[in-house]
Amino acid sequence: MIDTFNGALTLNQKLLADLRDSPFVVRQGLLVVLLVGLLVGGVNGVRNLVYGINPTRQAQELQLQKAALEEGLREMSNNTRDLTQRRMIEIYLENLDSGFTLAEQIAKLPTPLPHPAGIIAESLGIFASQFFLYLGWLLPLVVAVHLSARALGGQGSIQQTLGLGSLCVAPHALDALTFINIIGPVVGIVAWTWSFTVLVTATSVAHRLTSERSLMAVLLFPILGSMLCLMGCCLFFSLMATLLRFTR
Amino acid sequence: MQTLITYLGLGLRGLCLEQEAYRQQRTAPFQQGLLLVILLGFVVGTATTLGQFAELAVSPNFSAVAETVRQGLVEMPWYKDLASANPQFKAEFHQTFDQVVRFLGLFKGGYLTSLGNILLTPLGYVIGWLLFGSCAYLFAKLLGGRATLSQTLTCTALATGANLLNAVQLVPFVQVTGVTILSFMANYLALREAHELSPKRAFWATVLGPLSVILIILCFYCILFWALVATTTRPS
Repeated sequence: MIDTFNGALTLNQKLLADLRDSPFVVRQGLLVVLLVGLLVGGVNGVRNLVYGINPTRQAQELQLQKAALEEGLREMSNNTRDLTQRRMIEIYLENLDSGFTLAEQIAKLPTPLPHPAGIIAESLGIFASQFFLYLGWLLPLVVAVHLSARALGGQGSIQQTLGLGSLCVAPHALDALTFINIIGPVVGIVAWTWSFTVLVTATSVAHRLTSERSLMAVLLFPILGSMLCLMGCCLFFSLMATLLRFTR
Repeated sequence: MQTLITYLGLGLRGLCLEQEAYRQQRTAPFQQGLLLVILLGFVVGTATTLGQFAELAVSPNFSAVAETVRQGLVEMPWYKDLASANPQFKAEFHQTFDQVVRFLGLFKGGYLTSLGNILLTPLGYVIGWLLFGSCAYLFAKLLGGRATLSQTLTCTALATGANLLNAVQLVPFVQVTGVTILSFMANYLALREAHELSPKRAFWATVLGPLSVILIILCFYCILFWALVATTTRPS
């Protein structure tokens, strides 16, 4: 599994081709997703546990969130000219303290098991959910890539697309570092770019396509989707404008 | 125990979309498919129940949460402003709040409701499998498929192996996604292998079944809505 993981990261064509011809291609691919999911989920779970078990840290985190929300609302209030909107924001700000107090009160309610058990359970949930978070975006992506690759003359089966496509999750092992404030966003961008490159290579190997065609296969559905979204938005706004004109 | 492990192994092969497993399943007896679906449902149902028990053990009581929320809302400045401006507001607020709590109470889990999962999950899986398998068989036959209904069902039974991922709900508060799409892929493979269809035909045989069921349900609701409107607007 580690070899497959390393091969995916280094875009090893021979390893990808061997994997494509293996009858256990999906198993191998999903194991890489599981490995990355457990690694990133483990880091996130431990982080949640550390924050949750220490009440002072938890209170500090809550205060930080409150301050950020308050600042955002004040900025919105300063930027808006609409008096109704400004009054709405003022009402939000007046009730913010009570809202946070209410959240604290709910968190302090007694449970059948003592409170640390809840934090441990929640952290376990975060740990186990990461694999599914990856599956959640990977599977629709694989279906879209498979359909477009076949339309572009690809010869791979759905198992090969899924097995090799799963390897694009490997660079997301970097997500384990995103909690570090300074490098977090950069690491995220690097992971997504690397992941995209792995997906293009994997599609090219799985479907025996040229790099240009596999790039098209990967981008076809996202481009179509964003174009449809744009058209939908334009249609919606023009419809709204027409309706407003009629009502005046 | 050995049988359970063998069947779980078979389910795992279905989950991993192993072509050879689907090919072999074509000649397996119908009873094997049925037993596989029931066992998978039982495993997932038991895991879900245990996970829900753990969630209940670390969550506060629903009524206590509702009362704390009510108390918290009543103490907020917006409530006081509205209550002083409108004397009827307090009564209206409590009435609406009670209605919302009653509605949300319908979805709250309990130990008894969770226990029901052990029986309901296998039942749901069997019904879903039979319904989907029969629809898919019809469409596969229309598209030139060669398998019998029994062969279609034994192959699609293996595709329910994708639901094994749901067994992770043994862990409390876990979020499971992607199982439906994986199940769809497994069913596509099952139909392709059972009916020896081309990829395109297998795709349509997989998609048309659920689509037609959705369409039938939509039509049913439309007719129901129309009947409701017709009866309420009829002049007396």
